[in-house]
This record gives sequence, structure tokens and C-alpha cells, in this order.
Amino acid sequence: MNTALLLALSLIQGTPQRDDGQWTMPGRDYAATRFSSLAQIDRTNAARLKAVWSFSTGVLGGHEGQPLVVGSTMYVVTPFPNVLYAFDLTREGYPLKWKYRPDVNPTSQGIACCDAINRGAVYADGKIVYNLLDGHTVAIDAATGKELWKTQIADMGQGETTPMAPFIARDRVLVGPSGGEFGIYGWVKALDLASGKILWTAHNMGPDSLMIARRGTFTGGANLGVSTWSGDSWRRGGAPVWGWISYDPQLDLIYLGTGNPGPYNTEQRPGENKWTNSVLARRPSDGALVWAYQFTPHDSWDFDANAEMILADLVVGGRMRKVLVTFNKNGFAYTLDRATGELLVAEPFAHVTWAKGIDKRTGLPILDTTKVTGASRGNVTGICPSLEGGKSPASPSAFSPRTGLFYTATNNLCMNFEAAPVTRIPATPFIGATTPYVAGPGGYMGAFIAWDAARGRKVWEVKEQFPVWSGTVVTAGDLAFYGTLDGWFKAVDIRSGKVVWKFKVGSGVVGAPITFRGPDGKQYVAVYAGIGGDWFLLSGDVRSDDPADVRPPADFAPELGRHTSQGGIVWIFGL
Amino acid sequence: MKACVVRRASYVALLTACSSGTADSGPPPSIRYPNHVAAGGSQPPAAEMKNPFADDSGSAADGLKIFSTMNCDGCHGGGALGWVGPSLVDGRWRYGGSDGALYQSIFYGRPRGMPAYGGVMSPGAIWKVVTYIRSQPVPSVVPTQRWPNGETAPRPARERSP
Repeated sequence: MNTALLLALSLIQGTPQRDDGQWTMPGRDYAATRFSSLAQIDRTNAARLKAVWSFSTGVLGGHEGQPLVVGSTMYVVTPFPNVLYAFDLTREGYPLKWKYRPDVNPTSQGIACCDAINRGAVYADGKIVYNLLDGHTVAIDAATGKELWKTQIADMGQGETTPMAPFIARDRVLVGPSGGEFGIYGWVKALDLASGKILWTAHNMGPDSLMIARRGTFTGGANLGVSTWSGDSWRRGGAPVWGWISYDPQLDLIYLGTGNPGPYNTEQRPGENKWTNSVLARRPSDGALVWAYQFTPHDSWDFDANAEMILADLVVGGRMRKVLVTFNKNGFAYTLDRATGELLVAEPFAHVTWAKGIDKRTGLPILDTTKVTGASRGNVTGICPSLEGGKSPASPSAFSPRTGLFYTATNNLCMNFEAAPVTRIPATPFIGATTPYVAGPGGYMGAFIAWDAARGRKVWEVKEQFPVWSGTVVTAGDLAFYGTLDGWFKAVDIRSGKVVWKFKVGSGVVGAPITFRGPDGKQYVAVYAGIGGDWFLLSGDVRSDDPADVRPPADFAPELGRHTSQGGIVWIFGL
Repeated sequence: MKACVVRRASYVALLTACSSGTADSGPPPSIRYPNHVAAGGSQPPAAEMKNPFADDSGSAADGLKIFSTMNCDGCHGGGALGWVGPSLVDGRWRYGGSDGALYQSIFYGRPRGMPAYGGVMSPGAIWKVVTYIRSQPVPSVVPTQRWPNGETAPRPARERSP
């Protein structure tokens, strides 16, 4: 493979921004590569990395997402109550420039399915834009910390909360809700960056008019968002938007993944349930749907497709293709043509039992029907991956144009699934299943892997005792960085898969590391410690702040509480 | 101090029984929190709510069903062992563990995420859920977790399911 050509194409097509050492959006660039061309820290010197700074956020919830670095300022959003810190990187000890304290409705903590997390902010045009958990988007003056606008986008009364990191394409702020476990009617909205005014709302199912699926623009079929559901079950069918968005400026398409259909009990929603568990390609200007692909039709296992859609240019089958690569919760990694949605590659990156493969011609999974769940099917056992996913969408992966490979955290968990009928009561959970986990085969529960998306094969892996729930950053120093649930932050040589450095950061890592060039010209790596998210629920005993909430350890991972408790810390490492 | 006792499973009865006094003379229609500290050593005037189904095993069984149909287990977990919401079977309470305190938590909700169910559940149904929760065995002491010599932590006596 011609690495130089790949890099050049990537810079032209996927990475319009010059690598100026900043980190201004969750995935670093429009293509969501999480690749930085910074190379001061490399395979030869990474063993000398040391902690240069740390800061307690004062918040205990799961610290997902990542800091931003814009100019000489680092911005950090905390989990609920969504404090925004601005650190001055030009002064010793990185003191605060300002601290923004929004008024967030505390009830949102009980509408959020899985801990009161936040996945970060995005910067554009002098503004830091992020979502408050209670259904509001705010824009803050990056220089002064002054609130410029605040817009209500979601309705907690319908089970919607908003931990997602917004994405900005052109002058549109794109946002979506969580609530796949609350029977929401999923959507994505575009807000005007200057004013916060809602410009369009596109639903993920329902009639074409509400999906902004116009004849001539979308050729997939008419009113599939209604005809693939029974009755009006689409109105409470989920399809949340809680992951990451990417953007191809040449094709002028945004790519967003949708989450699971609700409820988990399949028998309350016969049909394929389009467009849950799908990738949707839309025009940012008016929201028009251009193409869609559903990874897991009529989902039986909570296989959300909210993972990042990384845009790259790869030689697939002897041809250079503009592709989109995504690691789905269902255990398959997909490589699609991002102009058309054509399926090019779909191979398992994790242990999979629910399907025997993906039919490339139809794009449909070849099911193992003994793994299909539903209230009348009793307790279905031995389903792999678990509903945590072969990889969690909360853990964004990375692409290095220098190797042409993708790097990602993975989980090696399986589950049993016992569904039951459930009634939707707005603002309460709409789930209908009990899903205990067990470790997958091999005696380990997670791994960090390198993946060849052109051929659909694993190149190397680093096995981990616990599931790996961290995002990844990869650099031109040929290093990848990731963290573990038991609180290690690690650097890996991406050529060999060898761990070259590690440091215990004080709490499990569920955030996504970044790298940046400081005002002193040196390269740094930053990451949050702070176990939480699903692992607040699953770990059982990592809470210590509430004497009235004492839990046994997770039965599938009883050792985890030995290594970590909750606690939010921002770390910066350097040479 | 005037006692305000509700003996029947009716929130209307509570309002009636407690609204007979004036704002100056009668206790407010609230409940006592036995685990609160009283300023000056004097307990504030408050009503005492009685669960009409206390210790009734049939009501506890009904309450378990309601706990599921009202999606309580979606947050508090199967067996009320704790999930995104706190455990209700560890013998520890944020807002008081008396029958009346539990009733109020369900009816009015609580500000850290508990929705108010007073609009969708009858008082009788709420009392049955209270009866179910109170029927669950509670550990007399929360055991200290130990991990001796690298062995796996002892399994809790109680099974847990998400």
C-alpha cells in the first residue's frame, strides 16, 4: 500500500484542517480519524513519558469524551452537572481562565440510562458548544466563558437526555438525544451556530416527511420508517443519536449512527425497524437523507450503531475507494463506500455467535436463529457479543494513514437475554429484558486491537483482563494511546502491538485521549480518568460517595472494584 | 402536637386528615425522617403515614409485579439491587426508610432522578410497592470487602441481574 499517497489523500479529503497541534472537535478532524501528525513522542522515547499535570474535576460520574485544545487553552466538560473549565496552558500549573457553571436540572440523572455522562464539546468560530444533560445545547464564548446562547433541544418528559458531543459542519451544530432505553422517537437536529436557532429536525424513523427522505434524493424506498414497523410502534421505537458524527466536505454528507430499537422485547415491534441500528448519510444544509444502511435489522440484542464512522481512502479489492469504517456493537467491522452506502467488507473483530456472517450481496446478517430473543423465547443463552458491544460506541477508535490500519478498544463479553413484555410510561425505562453477562472465551474480557479494514482482519491485539472502554488516539510517532477500566493509561507501538509505557491514572478510563502541541512547542497527551458510564452500573461497587448506596461487586468481574473507584481527573503527559 | 394518621389506602384521606388544622396550628402533611437531626433537639411537627398493607405477603407479591410493570426495575435493577438508581435492599436510605418516606419518594419523586409516580400510580399501588420493598431481606451489616492474597472477592449472597 502506498502510505504517502494514502496520507496525501487523507489530508485532502478527510482532513481539511492543517495539523496545527490543536484538538478542536471530538474526533480531531471531520473524518473522525483521531490521528495527529505530531511526532515528538515516538516509539523510541515513549518509555520516558511522565505526568506533567493533573486536575480533579470535582465530579465523580463517568468521564467519557475528551478535552479540547484551542490555541493556548484547554477546555474540559465534566459529567453532570456539566461544568466547563478553561485552563491557561501558557502559565505554570495551567490555572483556570474561567469556569462556567450551568444550571442543569438534576432530575436528568434519572432519565439518563447509564450514568450522567457527557461526551465532550466542539469548537468553532470562537465558541465552545456542548450539551447539558437535561436537553439543552449551550454556546460559550471561548475567550471569556460568557454564555452566548442556550437552546432546548430535547424533552426529558419523553425520556430524552443529551450527553452526546455536538458536531459542527459548516455553520450547523448537529445534536441528537439519548433514550434508546426510554422509548424515545429518535432524531437529529441542526442548530444555527451563530444564534442557536433550530434549523431542521430529521427523525430516524416514521414517515418520509419527518425523516426528510425526499424522492430523488433518497432512493432506498418510500416510507420505510413506517412500513418496517408494526402499527405505530415507530413512535416509541428508540433510535437515539448518542455517538459521534463525521463529515465529508467534498460529498457534503454527514454520517451519523442510530441506536437500538425499543423496547428490547422484539415481539412488541415486528419488522426490520428501519432506521434503527443504522448509518444515515444526510446533507448538513437541510438534513435531506441521501442513503442509509441498517447493520442489525429487527435488533434482538441492543446492538446500537452509534459508533464513530471513520472516513478514509483505502484500496479495497484492488481499487482505491472512499470508505467509511465502523466497529459495530454487533461484533462486525464494516467498510462501506461512503458515497453510496455499498457494503464492501464486513468481518467479525470480536467473538460473534448471533450471526454466521454478513451476506455481502444483500447486506443482511446470516442469523443463528437459536440466538434470536423475544418474550416468548424464554432465556436465550450464549449470545456474543454482549450488549456492551464487541466495541462500545462510547470508545471511539482511530485510523493511522501511515499504516492504513484502525486501532480500537474491544470487549470480550457474552450474555444471556430474557425478554419480557413492557409498558411505556414516558420518562421511565422502556426495556423489557434481563441480560446478565459472562466473560467471552479465552479467559480475558477485553483487548486493544489493530484492524485491517480493507481485508477485514485483525493484525495484532493486546489482551486485557477487563473490557476496554477507552477511546484511542494514534500519532505520527507511530504510537496509539488507550486506557483500561482498572486505571492504566498505555502507549502501544502500532507497528508491533507492544505496550511501551503505562501509568496508573487513579480511576478506570472510559474517556478518549487526545494529543496536542502546547504553547511551549512540546507535544503532550491528555486523558480523563473516571470510571463510569455503563461501568457505574456494571461494576457494582465502584461508588464510595453515598453511604445509602452499597452494592455487591459485578458477578462477572468481581475483581474490578479492587483496582478502581469513581473519580474524575484530567491528566497531561509529556517527555 | 396533633397527630395525623392515615389508616386507609387513600391519599385523599391523608389530605383530609391533615388539612383540618390551620397553617399555624396543624402539622403539615409531611412525614418524619427518623434519620434527620432536629435543630434544638425538637422534632418538627409532622404527620405519620401508616402503610395499610404493612407486612401483608399478598400485597408484597402484588408490589413486586407493580415494581416491574411501573418500570421501577429499569433503574433500581432486578431485585431492587441497584442499577442507575440506588439499591433499595441494602438497608440504607437517602431520604429516610420509613414506610411514609418511601411513599413520598414514589409519589413526589426525588430530585436526583427519581420521577414522581403520583400521577400514574394509585395510593394503594404505591403502598404495595412499599410493602414489597420492605419485605426484602436486608443485611444486618454491610460486609467489608476483602481481597486476600489475590483471590477473587467473595461472592455476595444475593444474585444480581441487570
